Amino acid sequence: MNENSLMRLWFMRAMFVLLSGAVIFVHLIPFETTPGRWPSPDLLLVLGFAWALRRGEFVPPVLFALVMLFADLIFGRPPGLYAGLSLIALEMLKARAGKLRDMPFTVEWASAAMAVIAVILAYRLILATLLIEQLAFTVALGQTMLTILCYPVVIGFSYVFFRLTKPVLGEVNALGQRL
Amino acid sequence: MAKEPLRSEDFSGPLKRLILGLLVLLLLAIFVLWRIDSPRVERFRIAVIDRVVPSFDWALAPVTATANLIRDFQSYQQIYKQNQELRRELQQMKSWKEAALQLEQENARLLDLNNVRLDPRLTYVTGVVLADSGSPYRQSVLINVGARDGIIDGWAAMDGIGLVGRVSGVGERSSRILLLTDPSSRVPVTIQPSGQRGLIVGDNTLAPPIDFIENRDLVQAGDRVVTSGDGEVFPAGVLIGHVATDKGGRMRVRLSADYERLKFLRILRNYGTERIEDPGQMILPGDGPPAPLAPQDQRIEPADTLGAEALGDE
Repeated sequence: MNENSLMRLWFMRAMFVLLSGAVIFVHLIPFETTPGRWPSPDLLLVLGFAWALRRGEFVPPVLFALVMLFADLIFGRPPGLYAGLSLIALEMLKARAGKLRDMPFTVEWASAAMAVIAVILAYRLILATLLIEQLAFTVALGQTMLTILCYPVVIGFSYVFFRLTKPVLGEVNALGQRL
Repeated sequence: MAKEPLRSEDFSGPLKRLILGLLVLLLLAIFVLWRIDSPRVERFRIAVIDRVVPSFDWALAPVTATANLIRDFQSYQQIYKQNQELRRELQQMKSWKEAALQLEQENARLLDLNNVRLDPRLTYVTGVVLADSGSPYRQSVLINVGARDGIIDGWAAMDGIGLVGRVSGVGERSSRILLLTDPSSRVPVTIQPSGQRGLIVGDNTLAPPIDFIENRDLVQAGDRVVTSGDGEVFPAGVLIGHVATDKGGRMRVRLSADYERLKFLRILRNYGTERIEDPGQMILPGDGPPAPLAPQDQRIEPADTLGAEALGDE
């Protein structure tokens, strides 16, 4: 099958960019111009993490870094820091994905949650050290919680629309490498 | 067999790691650069946003419009609810208004029956309606007071609330009241907030039309119609009714008097307004300055006249 063909690989990479663009786009829509009460989940982060844990090659680091940097620029965050931290977390998750393959979903979710918490915590710590003003703690906490809660949703979405599953034993990629 | 991909991974692994490290370094360098030279990076950010976001515009506009549509729909729903509430309240208000109107009428009738004298200048004789005209083309009633009670032709007749008509034909013990609805009835009126003059012309309907209004634009439905006192038949200021517009756009009077139940009528005694025949007596031309301190007896006369014209002025 063309399950692991080159075309699918590039299609999924394009889809990642497209989905990220859609998420950024939705954030940009002026739904609520008054200060919102509810923090929004960081869907970009969770999308990257979910795909990294399932199929790391769909989220190449360059692509992810560009997307996150772009989001940093668009959303008015300090550029580069959040992107760099999440890139590190993404690669750590990728390295761990092989071990998580046989684990139940909860373990996968927990590791993703740990990564999210680590990214946001490190981000806040660095910003605090450099005396840069940042979101209120409660907002950040709510954002973290929502982001973690969004992980299964993103996984379900990816499964339903893109058939994104964990690689089964013996699957090879387009270059014939074992996954 | 299995070693081949492993070896290729061995080759690609360090390269990937190098790229990754460079990427992270680059990103952090951007951050540090931002921290050091914020304005320049912010300019770059603005340039990126300026480049990207307007190109989203074609998509942002319809999505925003849709979102606003949904929001509007929600607010319309709220408006609907509010409307329902207002309707309910209006219903209650209507019943209250009805109660108030009934109380007002009852009060007027009771005052009438008790012969309460509202204005000492306008005394009246109350009579009971004996009969109507008996003809569909003539709108008049017969009451049980006549010349014996001092009734004089032309006096105004009203029920407790509004003008009903005028005395037209006095017998010894009875007199005929020509109603406002009679085709031969003409009553000069004033329409109150605007002060427009007009003539109520009876046309055998319950809501006689108003003719000869000078400026119809100033008259609105609901305005009060009172007698103007022109022609010296009626005292001025007697309530007749309220302006209403019929289907043809013609101004008509919704009569305040209860024509359905004409039982007691009161005939206003009206000995005519005193006329100022000779202006010289009042203005006193050539008699020094036009004195504000005119002789007392001469000044009272017009004041009296005015007072007599306005019902309920005191």
